Amino acid sequence: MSSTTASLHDITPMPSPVRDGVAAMLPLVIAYAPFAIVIGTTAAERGTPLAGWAGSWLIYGGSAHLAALRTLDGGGWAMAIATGVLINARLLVYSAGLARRWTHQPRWFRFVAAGLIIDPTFAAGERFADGCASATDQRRHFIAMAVTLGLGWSAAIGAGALLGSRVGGIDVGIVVPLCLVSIVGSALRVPASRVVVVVAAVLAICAGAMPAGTGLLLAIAGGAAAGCLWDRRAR
Amino acid sequence: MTTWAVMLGVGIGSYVLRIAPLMLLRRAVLSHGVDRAIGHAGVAAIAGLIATSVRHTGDGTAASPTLLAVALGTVLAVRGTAMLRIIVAGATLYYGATLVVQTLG
Repeated sequence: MSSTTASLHDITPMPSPVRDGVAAMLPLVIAYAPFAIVIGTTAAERGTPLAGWAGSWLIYGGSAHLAALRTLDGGGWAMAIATGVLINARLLVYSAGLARRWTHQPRWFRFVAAGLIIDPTFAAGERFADGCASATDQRRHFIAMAVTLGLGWSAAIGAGALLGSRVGGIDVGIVVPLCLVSIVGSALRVPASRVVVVVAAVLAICAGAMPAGTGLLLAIAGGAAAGCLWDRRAR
Repeated sequence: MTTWAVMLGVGIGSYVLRIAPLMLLRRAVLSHGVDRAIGHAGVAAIAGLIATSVRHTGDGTAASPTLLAVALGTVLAVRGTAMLRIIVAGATLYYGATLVVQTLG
């Protein structure tokens, strides 16, 4: 047989990190669309659709984005910022994990990618990196994922902002708690997290009379403290 | 103007949370206790948001349908069901229960 004849293995196309990244995020773009539309309509109802839409890239996080918009109404701008940032506190943990993985990545990538770290990009990025040692491929995969998710997310928020009052007449509010439940649901398998969820939820309901935002901050502090106490007891 | 300021404020604050470990912790690690506390804060934040969203959505006749839908969503989420299926199942139960409540009411 000729040495120049290509084997089937040689002509099999190598998996593309960019294509894998896009494919990983497309189902999530569809899943997150209802949540994003609710955020867009919330911004439209406040009369600030463009500013609300801008948060899709500036914040790049649905729960913080929605909480900030809702807290703004009753709690003021400072409370809204504090609430949004606190909700994104978990991103510290994700970044700390990625810091070890991205030791050999160029500085420009760490600056750009930092703004795109959120639950799905972190989880899918870690999964890909576990099976691929190439720093270049990991970089391309992460950027492809994050841009795909960002484009779909911002488009859905934009659609919600444009539809605005037309969607406002339809009762879609139930989408928000269902989306949030799906984010935190798997954590409920861990006893410490169950304690955190129960304490935080009870505090949030009991503190409902407090100015908007402060009740949520109390719930965060109380839930986190309860979780730490549970961890200490369990040791 | 205020909404712009809030979007920028949350964006800058979130970016600082994201970039700080990447720049400062390239070779170090967070202590286990700090790691766990931050993780608990994130879960607590979302749980608090769920509670306030349920209160926001579940006013008056919508209370029972909302609680039923969120309870179903929780069960499905613990079992690892995909988000889109949770939304479809929960929303179906919500609209069905709302119809029943309005018919009986």
